[in-house]
Amino acid sequence: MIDNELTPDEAAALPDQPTGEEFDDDHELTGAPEPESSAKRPVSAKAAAAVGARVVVGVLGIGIAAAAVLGSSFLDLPSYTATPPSELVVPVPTAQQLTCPGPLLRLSDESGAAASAVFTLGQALTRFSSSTGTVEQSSISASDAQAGEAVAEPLVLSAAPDSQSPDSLVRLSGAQSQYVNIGDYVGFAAAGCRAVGGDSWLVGGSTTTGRTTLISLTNPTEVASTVTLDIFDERGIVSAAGTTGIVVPPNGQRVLSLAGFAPGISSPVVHVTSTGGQITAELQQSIVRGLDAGGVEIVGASQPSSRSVVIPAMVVTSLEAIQALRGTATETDDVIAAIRVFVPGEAPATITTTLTPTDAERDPIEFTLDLSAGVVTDIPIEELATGTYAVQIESDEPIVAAARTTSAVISASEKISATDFAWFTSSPALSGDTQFTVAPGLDATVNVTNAGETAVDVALTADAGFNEEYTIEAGSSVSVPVSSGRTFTLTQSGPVYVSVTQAENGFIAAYSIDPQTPGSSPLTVFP
Amino acid sequence: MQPRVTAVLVARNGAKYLPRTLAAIAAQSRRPDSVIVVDAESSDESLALMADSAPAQIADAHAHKTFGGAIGAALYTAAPQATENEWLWLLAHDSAPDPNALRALLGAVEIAPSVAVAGPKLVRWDDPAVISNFGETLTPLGRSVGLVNDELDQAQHDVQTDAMGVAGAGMLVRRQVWTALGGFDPKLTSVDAALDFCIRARLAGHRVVAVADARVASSGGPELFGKRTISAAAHNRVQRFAQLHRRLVYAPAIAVPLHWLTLLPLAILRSLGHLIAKRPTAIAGEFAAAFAAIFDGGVVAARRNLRRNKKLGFAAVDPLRMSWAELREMRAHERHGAAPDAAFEVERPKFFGNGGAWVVLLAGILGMISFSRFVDAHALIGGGLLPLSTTVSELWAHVGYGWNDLAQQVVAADPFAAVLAALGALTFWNPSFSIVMLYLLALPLAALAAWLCAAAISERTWAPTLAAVAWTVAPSFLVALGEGQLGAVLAHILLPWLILTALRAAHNWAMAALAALLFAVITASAPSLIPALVIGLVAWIVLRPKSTHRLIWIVLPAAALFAPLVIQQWGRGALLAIFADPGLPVARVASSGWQLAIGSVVPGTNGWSELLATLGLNDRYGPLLVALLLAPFAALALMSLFVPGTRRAVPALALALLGFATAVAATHLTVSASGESEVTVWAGAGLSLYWLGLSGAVIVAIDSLGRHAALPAVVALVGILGISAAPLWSLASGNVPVTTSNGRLLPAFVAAESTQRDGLGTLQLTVTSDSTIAVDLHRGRGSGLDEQSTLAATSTELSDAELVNATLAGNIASRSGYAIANELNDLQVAFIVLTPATDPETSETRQRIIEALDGNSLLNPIGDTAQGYLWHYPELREAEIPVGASNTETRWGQIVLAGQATVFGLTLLLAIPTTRRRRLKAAKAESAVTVIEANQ
Repeated sequence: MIDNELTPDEAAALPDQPTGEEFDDDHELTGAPEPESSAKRPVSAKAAAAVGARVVVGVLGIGIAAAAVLGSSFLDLPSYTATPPSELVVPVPTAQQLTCPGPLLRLSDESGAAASAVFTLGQALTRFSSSTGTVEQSSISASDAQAGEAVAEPLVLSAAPDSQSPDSLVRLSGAQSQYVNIGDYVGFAAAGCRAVGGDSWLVGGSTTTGRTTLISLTNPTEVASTVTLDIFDERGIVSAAGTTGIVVPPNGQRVLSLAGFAPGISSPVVHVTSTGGQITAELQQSIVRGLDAGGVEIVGASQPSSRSVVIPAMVVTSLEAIQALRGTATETDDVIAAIRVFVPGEAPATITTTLTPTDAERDPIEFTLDLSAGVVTDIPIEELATGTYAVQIESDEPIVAAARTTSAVISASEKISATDFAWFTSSPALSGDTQFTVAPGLDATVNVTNAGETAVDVALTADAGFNEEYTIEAGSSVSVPVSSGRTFTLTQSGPVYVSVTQAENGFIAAYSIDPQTPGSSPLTVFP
Repeated sequence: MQPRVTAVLVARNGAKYLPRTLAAIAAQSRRPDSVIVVDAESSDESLALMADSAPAQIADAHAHKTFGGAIGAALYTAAPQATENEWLWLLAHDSAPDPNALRALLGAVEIAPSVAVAGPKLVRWDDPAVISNFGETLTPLGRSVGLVNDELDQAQHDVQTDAMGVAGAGMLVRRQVWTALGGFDPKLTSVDAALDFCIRARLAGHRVVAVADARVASSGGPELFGKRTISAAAHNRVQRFAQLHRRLVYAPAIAVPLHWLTLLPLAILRSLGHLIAKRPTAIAGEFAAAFAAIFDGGVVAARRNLRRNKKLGFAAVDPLRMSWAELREMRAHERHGAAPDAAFEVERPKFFGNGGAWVVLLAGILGMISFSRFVDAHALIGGGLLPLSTTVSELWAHVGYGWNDLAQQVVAADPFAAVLAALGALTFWNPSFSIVMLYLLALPLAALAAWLCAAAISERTWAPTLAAVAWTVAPSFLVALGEGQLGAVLAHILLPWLILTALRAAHNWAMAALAALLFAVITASAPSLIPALVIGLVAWIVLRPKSTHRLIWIVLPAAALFAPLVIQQWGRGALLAIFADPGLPVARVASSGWQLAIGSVVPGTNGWSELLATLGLNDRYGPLLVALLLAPFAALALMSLFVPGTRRAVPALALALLGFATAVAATHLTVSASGESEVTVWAGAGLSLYWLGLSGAVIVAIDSLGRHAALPAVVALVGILGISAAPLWSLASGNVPVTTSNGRLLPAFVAAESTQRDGLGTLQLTVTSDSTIAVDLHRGRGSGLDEQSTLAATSTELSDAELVNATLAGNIASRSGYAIANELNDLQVAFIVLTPATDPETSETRQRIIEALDGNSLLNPIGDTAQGYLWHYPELREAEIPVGASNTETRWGQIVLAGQATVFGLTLLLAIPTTRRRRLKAAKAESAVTVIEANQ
C-alpha cells in the first residue's frame, strides 16, 4: 500500500526525499571536513579524502560499538528498582479447639449380637485446662457408636480468645483415660485431646485372630469431611472397597472396623487424609488371647513421615511377666516389644535405631536395618530388659514409626494377671512453651527427650507450686514422675520431644504431647 | 472631451520598487494629467522617493495601511472632481506600467462609454512574459478565482475584454463611479477588494473590461501590499474572510441569517476537509475567518452601499461567473501544467519481481509451521499473554480514565489498552482471536514491513530480501512471540513502517499522520522505546527543519495517549514507571550487556543453550555459537561505515546504538512487579530497534558491494537463519510459555454465575513463595490482558482498598476469627480461587490455604479446575458492586476520551491518502506567499 503511496516521479518531485542519489558525499553527516579547494584539485585527491574520512568514521564506529558492548557488560551501570508493596497479615486468632477420643468402643453389644454395630464401653475421664480459665465443652452429636450411657460421645473442648487481649495465644490442653473391665475388654487406655488435621498417620493395631482394631474419625468442624484411608501392611498396600469417600458429617464421628477393610493383617499402618472439614483420627485396639483379655489401647496419630523419628519413652514394665505370659498363653506374637516402621516412599530405607535407657545407667541398644519401600515392618526386640527407653530412629528415607510393649503382672504364684499393652507413638518436636494435661488414673511419667546436638534446659511447672528444672544432655532423656490428672507447662531452651506414659499394676498406656495448637502463621500478602 | 486622468500612487514600504514605478509613470506615452502620491504609513524612504518625482499632491494616509483605504484618504483631501470625464488610475508602489499602458486603458474606455472600470494585464515583476493576473471572477459558490494565473503570455488571452472584475493595481476607474460606489469596501483589506468593487460597478449598470494591451508589472497579489511575505495561514484566513464577507453582503436579505448561522458549522466541516486535503495549517485561518465573519460589523454598511447603487440584479453578472465546467477545465490545465518531469526516477526493487513476495510467502509458511498448534485456537495464554475481554464494548470500556479492578481505583488506562481495543475490534466476534491471528501472521507481516522499508532505501535486489529475512527471524522477535510479549511483537512488526513513513513524512502530511499513528501504537506497545524514538525524531527534525510542523505531529497522538498516565505517575513521583511494559507483568532474569549484543533477550541465548543441552552438547558453547553465526551480519553492518553511503550508514548504526542503549537501560530498570517478584523492563523492544539499525547498515553495505554482494549476503543470511534455528525450534515444539487457551480467565463456574449477575467478585490467591501470597480481585469473568494496568503493577504503596483485600486474603487463607462474611459481602466477592501450583516449594503454604478454605463453613468447595481450586460463597448478600466510575462517568474520563478521540480522529483524517494533484495543490496552499524581490 505504502508502495503505491508515492510514485517514483513524485518522489523525485520532492527533492528532499531521501533517495539514494543524494548520498554521494558524506561530509555533511560524518563531519569529515570537505577539502575546500577540492574543486581545483585533481579528482583523485578528493576521492582519497573521502576514503580517508570514511576510514576515520569506520574506525570510530567500531570503537563506539566495542565500547558500548564492553561498557554495558563490565561497567557497574546505575539501576533503578521499585519494590512492590506488601502487607504482613497476622490472622485474627480464633477459638482453640481440641477433640478428645471419647469412650472405648466395641463391636457388638453385651450379648454379642449386632456384630457390625459399634457400642460404647462406659465412659472416659477427661481433664483439661486453659490459660483463660474457661473451656467450653460440647459433644459430638452424630456418631456411629451407639452410646450405652448419657455422656459417652467424644468431647470437643474449645477456648475462645481472651476478650481482654484478643491477639494473645490461648493455651488449651486436655487428656482422657479410661479403665475398663467389661467382658473381654479389660485394660487401661489414655489419650491426649488433639487438634484437627487433614493428614494423619495411624501406626498400630492388628486384625489377626483375637485382635480388634477400630478406626475412629471425628469431625468437630461445621463442614463435612471426606476421608480417604490408605491401609498398608507387611505385604504392601491393602486394596479394599470403601476406603475412599468416607463422609464424616459436621460435628460427627465415624467408627470403622479395620478388619472390614483388611482382615487378618498383623501390622497395619493407616494413612488418613481428609478434604473439607478437618478431623482427628485414632485407632482403638483390643486383644483377647484365647479366653484371656489382653488389654485395650487408644492409638493416636504418629508424626508425618520424616527421616528422624523420636519416641520419648517405651516402657517395659516387667520382662519376667512377659516371658511368663509367652509361656502360658496362646497367640503371643504381639507380646514381645516391637517397633513398627513403614517406608511410605518409593525407595527402600536404611534405618538406624537407638534405644537409650532413661532410668538406669545401661548401654544404649543400637541396630541398623534395611527396610523395603511401601511395606510395614514390625521389628521385634527380644529380651528387652525392664525399664524405660527413649527410641530414636534415623533413616535415609522418610518413615513413620511407633512402638508397642505389653505389660503384665506375675504374682508370687507365677500366675499372670492384668495383662495390658500400649502403643508409643512418635512425638513432634516442641519448640515453644507447651501446656499439656496428664490423664487421670495410673501413675504417670512425663518423658522428655533431647534429640539435638546440644544440651537443653527444661522447666516443668504446674499450679500448686510444682516447679522442676532439668538439664538434658544431647541425645538423652529424663523421665519425671508426676501426679496424674494435672496440667503442666513445659518451657525449654531448645527443641525436645515429650510423651506421657502411665503404668501401674500391669496396666499401661501412653500418648505423645503435641505442640500448642498454632494460630495460623502470618502471611505476606502482595495485593 | 479629452478625459482627465489622475494617477493615484499608493506606496507602503516600497522604496525598492518605487524608482522603476515612478520612472514608468513618467515614461507613459499618455501621461496622467496629475499624480497624487499617497504614503500608507511607510517606514522606509518611500515618501521621499515619491516626493522627489514632483507629484501634484502628496497625501499622507495616516492610519490607513490598506491600498483602498489609502486611496480613499488621499481623494478625500484631493482637489474635487474638475470634469465629468475624470478617471482615476490606481497604482501601487510595485505597479510599473508599460509605456503605453494608460493609452491602451483610455482607448478601451473611450470607445465604450458604458465602461467604468478598465484593468490592465498584470505581469510578473521579474518576467513580463508571465501573466500573473488578468481578470477575476466568481465560482458558482462565490469563491473568487483569477481567470489567468501565472501563465506564459502567448497572446492567448488577448481577445478577452469583459470581465467580472479586474485587479486593483493598475485599475482605471471613472472617478464619478468611484465616488458613487464609495471606493473599496473597508472590510476587504486586500484580497477581493477590487473584485467586489467591480461587481458593485457592474450592478450599478457599468461595464468592467480587462485590457490586454495594457501591461503593468506587479510583484505580488494585493494581500502582499506593503508586506514581504504572508504566511499560508494568514493568506487562507484573508481569502476565506473575503469570501464570507462578500457572501453576507451579496445574499438576499432573507438568506443572510441562514448564511450567518451556517458560518461555524461550515468552518468545522471545511476544517475536516482541510485535513483530508492535507492542509492542516489552513484550519486556524478557517476558524479565524469564520469568527471574523460572525462578528463582521461592516456587513450592514456594505449592504446599504450596495443597495443604494444597485440598478441591476445579480442575474446580470451571472454570465460572467465561471461555470462548473470551466472550473474543471481550469483545474485540468493546472494539473497538466504542474506535472513534474520524470527525469529523477530511481530504479527500486519491485515487490513481485525482486523476491519480496517470495520472502513474505516463505515467512508465512515458517509462521504456519511455528504456530501450527494455534491454528484452531480461540485464544492464547501464557507468558505475558492473557485472553482479552469477551466483547468489544468491554475492550473499549478499559481505555481512557476509569475504574480498574486490578488497581482497585480509578486510574489512567495504559495506552496499550487502546491498541488492544483496536486490535480486538478487528475480530469483534471473539476479540481474543485477533491475537491468535496476529501470531499466525506475525512472521509474514514482519517480512512484508521489512522488505518494503528496505526496498525504499535500497537499489539492489539482494538487500531487501536479506533485510526481510533478518527482520523476520530476529531473535528478539521470535523470543517475544514465545514469551508472549505482545507489545514487543507489535513494535517489531510496525517499526519498519514507522521508519518508512517518518522518512516520507517530511514532505507529506498523509505520511506524517500515518507515522504518528504508528508512533502511537509502537510507543503504547513498548514504552521503553520512547526515548530512543524521540531522539531519532529530534535528529530528523534537525536535518529537515522546514518540515518541523509535520514531524512534530508524529508525537501528538502518542502524547495524547500517554498524557493521563504520565500525569498520574508524576503525581505518584514515579515518572520512570511509564516505561513499564504494559500487559501482564512477568518476572524474568535480565540479560547482561554482551548477551544483549548477540541478540539474547533472556539468558540462555534465545534457546540455544537448551537446544544444545537437548542434543547432548555442552550448553556453555551456546553464546559462542550464536556470536559466530552473527559475526558475518555484524561485520557487514560495521563495514557499511567504510563504503560509500555513509550518510545512510551512520544514521542506521546510530539507531542500532540507540536500540542497544535502550535494551541495556531496560535491563537496569525494574519498575513493575508481579506479586512479590520484581519485573524488569523487557529488553526485546530495544533489541528490535538495535536489529533494525544493523539491518539498515547491512543494506548500505550490500548496496555498495554491487555485484560482489552475493557471497557476503548469502553468508550473512545463513548465519542469521542459523541463529534463528533454536528459537524457531522452541516455537514449533511448543517449548515456550505461550499456549492455547479456552479464553477463560476464571473457572467456568464463575463465568456461568457471572452471566446471572454482573460484576461478581472473585478473590484470586496465588502462592508465590513460602508464606507469601499474591491476591487479585477480579470482577465478572476476570481481568483480561486489556485490563492490566501498569499503574497497578508499578504501585509502591498500598491503597486502602488494597489493604482491605490483603487483610481479607490473609485471613481467609488462615484459620482465623476474622469476620470474613462481612468483608465478602462488602466487596461482593462470591468466589475464591487458588491458582495452580507452579513451584513445589510452595506446597506447604498451599496445603494450609486449602485446609483453611475447606474448613470454612461459609464456603462451599467447588473443586479443582483448570484455573485452580475454587470455593463459592453461596450466602452472598446482594448489594451494589463496590467499583468506581467507568471511563465515561467522570468529567476527567470524558475529557480524556474526547481529547484522545479528537487527536486520533484528526490524525486519521490526515492519514487518508489523497490524489497526487490534491497533494501538490495542498503543498502550494501550505506554503507562504512571498513578494517578488525588486532587485534582480
